[in-house]
Amino acid sequence: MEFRPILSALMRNKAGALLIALQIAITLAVVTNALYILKQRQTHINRPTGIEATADAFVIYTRVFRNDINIEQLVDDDLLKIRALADLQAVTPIQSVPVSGGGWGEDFYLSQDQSSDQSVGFGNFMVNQDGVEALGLDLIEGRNFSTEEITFRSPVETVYPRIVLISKPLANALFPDGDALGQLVYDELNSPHPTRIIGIYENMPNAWPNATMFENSALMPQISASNDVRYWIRAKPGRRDQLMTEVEQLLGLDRNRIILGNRTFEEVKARTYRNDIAMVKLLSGVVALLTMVTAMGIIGLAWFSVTQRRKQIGTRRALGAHKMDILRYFMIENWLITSAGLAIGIVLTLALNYFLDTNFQTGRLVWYYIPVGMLFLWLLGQLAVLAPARKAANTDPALATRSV
Amino acid sequence: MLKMQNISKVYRTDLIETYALREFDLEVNEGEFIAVTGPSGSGKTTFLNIAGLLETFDHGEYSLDGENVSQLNDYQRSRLRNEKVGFIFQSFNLIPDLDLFDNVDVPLRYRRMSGRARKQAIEGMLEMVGLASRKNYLPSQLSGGQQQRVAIARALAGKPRFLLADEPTGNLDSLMARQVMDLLESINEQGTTIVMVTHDHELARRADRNIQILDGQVSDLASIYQARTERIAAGE
Ligand SMILES: Nc1ncnc2c1ncn2[C@@H]1O[C@H](COP(=O)(O)OP(=O)(O)O)[C@@H](O)[C@H]1O
Ligand SMILES: [Mg+2]
Repeated sequence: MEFRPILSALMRNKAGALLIALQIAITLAVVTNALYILKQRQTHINRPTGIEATADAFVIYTRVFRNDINIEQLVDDDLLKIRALADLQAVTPIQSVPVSGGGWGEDFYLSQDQSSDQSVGFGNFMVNQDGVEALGLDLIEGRNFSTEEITFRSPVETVYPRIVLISKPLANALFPDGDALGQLVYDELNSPHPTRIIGIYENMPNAWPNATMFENSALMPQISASNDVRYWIRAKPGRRDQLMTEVEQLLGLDRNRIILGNRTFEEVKARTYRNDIAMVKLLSGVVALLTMVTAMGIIGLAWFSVTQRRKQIGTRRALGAHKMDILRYFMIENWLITSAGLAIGIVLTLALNYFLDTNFQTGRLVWYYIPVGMLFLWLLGQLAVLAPARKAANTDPALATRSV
Repeated sequence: MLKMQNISKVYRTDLIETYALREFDLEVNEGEFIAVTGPSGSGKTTFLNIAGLLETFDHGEYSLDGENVSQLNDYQRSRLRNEKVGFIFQSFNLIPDLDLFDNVDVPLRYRRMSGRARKQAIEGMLEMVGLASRKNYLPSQLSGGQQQRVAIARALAGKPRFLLADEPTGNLDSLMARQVMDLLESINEQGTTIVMVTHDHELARRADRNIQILDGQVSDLASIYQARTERIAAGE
């Protein structure tokens, strides 16, 4: 209702207001772009893994340093001992760990035909019959491995086993018609060794979060007979940390090997995503800091202008302004400054996004970040100006005659 | 129009109590032009502030235009100020960032008048004080006398029945002071009740009645003096 005179008074005192408007513009640009990037990173980190055991699983890495040890015997012994622990849900040997950043990449070829070189890449995970349960995968088609189907694979072996479980995304990549179950795939061109797909699980990513084929994975019924002996262990719910200590002590008794590491699956993920997590923290910090600085700027300017205009406010009160009228004056003034800032801010936001996208491929900002950011800054402004505006509203009307 | 009985006003600080007004009695009739004089610190501004509802008081009764105002809350007092009282200040108190038009507009907006009615009232008032052609000037572009005339236009734009002026000519040279006084007189002739604090005895003599405040009370000396002026005026 009293927009125009507030605006004209504002236009005659531009300097401070302009600075705050600019600050709001920059805040909008930085906050929306930062939140957008932050959201993308978070989505990246929190992609569903299909591994139900995420919170209960850990991996123990050991190395046998004597060459005269029978690895097959050692693994069988280990499994027996680990299975005897009360906190255990399931255990499987494993040669590489999902989302760990390092693993075995392989290809499946679709036919024996020399002329066709159609192949699909995937991450290979060698597990035993308990792998599906230990990882907590959702087997949606076919069957799991049986105990008798598990073999030891020597480090020099390249031929795939005769049967395999694959992820649904890998199944779709290999057989887009959806009839992957029961089909044959090959380890190389012209290979005499077909491998049959006996089961399909919903999802389990491979080891490389930044790969386009992140969801292509396969479980092979094999135990690696190398000196690097690793187990993926799933504890009963809530018992992970206890079980971790127990297993470490148990395997540590063996004089013929050393324990290289003991890591929860959550730690494995956190290490892999450490840059993304650091980025999320940094951006959150930037957003919080900038928001605070802007709020303080608004409070500071409003406080200054209230103090400076005490006599004018007293005069307005003397001329019949209610406290509400004074409060509203400063709220409207702030709203006008913020709106001007936001108008500039939209342009800045788009420019910054264009710059970030062309230089760092961050992607184009989703449109609704801008209105949401504007709403947030409007609210922030009104909240920040509230205390100074209330101080103004409580100005003594007698100041009209008393002050010089 | 205005009736104060036994009003006391105390300013308390941690160290001292100052009685700005004590057992203050005064009655102002509709249409009167009253000049208030008195030494500095005697309570003139305090009296005006209480009369104009800018300040509350500690004891006594005050009724303005027949309405007892001691029990009113801040909201009601603001509305009464807006509707019934016009203020003129020694240092004009124009809002420096608003042009003359918007300055005169201030009390009208607080009354929620329509834009058309406001425009008409503002232009009429600026016309009356002879500054219609400068409605888009800023106060800083005017002389003191002109600024005070704008302030008078602002005080009267809402057609208050009661005009309070605290040393309105205190910052003006004598020529400008006389022009402002002429304006106030003609306003009074049109029916507005005026109470004006002044140091200038020459101007005070032009009022209907003079009141002197001493130590927070209407002094008896003043009444004697006033009785004498009235006799002189009557040509006795
Ligand atoms: N806000 C205040 N706090 C304390 N004392 C005050 C205040 N305002 C006025 N006074 C005191 O009240 C007395 C009357 O002041 P005032 O009404 O301004 O006198 P005048 O206008 O006649 O010069 C003075 O002694 C003054 O110091
Ligand atoms: Mg005074």
